[in-house]
Amino acid sequence: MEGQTRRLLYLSLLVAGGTALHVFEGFLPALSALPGAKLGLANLASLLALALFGPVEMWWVVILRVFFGSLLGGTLLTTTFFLSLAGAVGSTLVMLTAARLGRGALSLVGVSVLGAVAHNLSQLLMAAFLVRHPGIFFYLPYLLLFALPTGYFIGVTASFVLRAFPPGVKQAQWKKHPARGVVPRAWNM
Amino acid sequence: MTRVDKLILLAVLGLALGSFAVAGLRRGAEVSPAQAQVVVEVDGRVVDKFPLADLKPGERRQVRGPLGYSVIIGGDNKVRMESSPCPDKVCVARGWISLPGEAIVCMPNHIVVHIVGPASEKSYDAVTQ
Repeated sequence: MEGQTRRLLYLSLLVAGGTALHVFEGFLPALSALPGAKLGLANLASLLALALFGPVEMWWVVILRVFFGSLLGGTLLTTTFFLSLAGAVGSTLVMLTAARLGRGALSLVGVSVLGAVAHNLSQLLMAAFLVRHPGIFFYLPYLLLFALPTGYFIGVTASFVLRAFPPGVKQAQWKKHPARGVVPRAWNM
Repeated sequence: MTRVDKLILLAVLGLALGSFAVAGLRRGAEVSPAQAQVVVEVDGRVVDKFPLADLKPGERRQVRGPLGYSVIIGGDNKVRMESSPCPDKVCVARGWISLPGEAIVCMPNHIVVHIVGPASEKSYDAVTQ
């Protein structure tokens, strides 16, 4: 029972944190003239959900975060929202696949970089679908290059945050679901 | 960071550089800019089409999108988005385009301005709708 409450508490915190980062990032001025080039701060919450809990919890955090973030940012059901959603769903699919296939060999950094690339790709696909023109793929090389430092930065940050979690949280989770989540190796990166 | 992580970083870097190379090659392979046509699309529908050479330097054309009027302006055989009611101005920052295959995309205002060569018109095998 206590474990359930704790799980609920941490998940709520991750959704809240992800939402706050999502909104905060929307306030930042564009980093460059590149459409969709951003740090991906909100992905921190998703990565932590994956590492601490597992795939199902990660989906909850991602979907709720996009919904609440768009609601608070005033972009719900606009173009921006659909771009966010496409990026979030695409990157989550890829990160989960990578975490599963690369279990033990991959740390959160690798997962995060792949997630950043997938995020930009799926966002571009969605954008091309929305304007019904492939001309938008002009930005693809720049976005791929951009995903490298941002994905790396977010992955490293997530690893550091993870280390700060009380050991009880991680160990309880790992005893309960030894097969879920990413790589215990991520702890001692 | 593990060894596989580093491999992934390298792979992504390779992919990015590779796509730059492909983009560069594609641009080089396109045809005679002199006969290029400017195509203006809103929501995927062609609303305007004219030879690039017809757009004199400084000449403006308005394009109506859902947010309002975006303005394109001509240069010396090139075209750019001069102003747009969109919040991010990505289309304005795109700058001049002049070669077939290049495009200016304004997501928020649903506008695509792109350039086609005379040959690229017929290069489709088929179009499905």
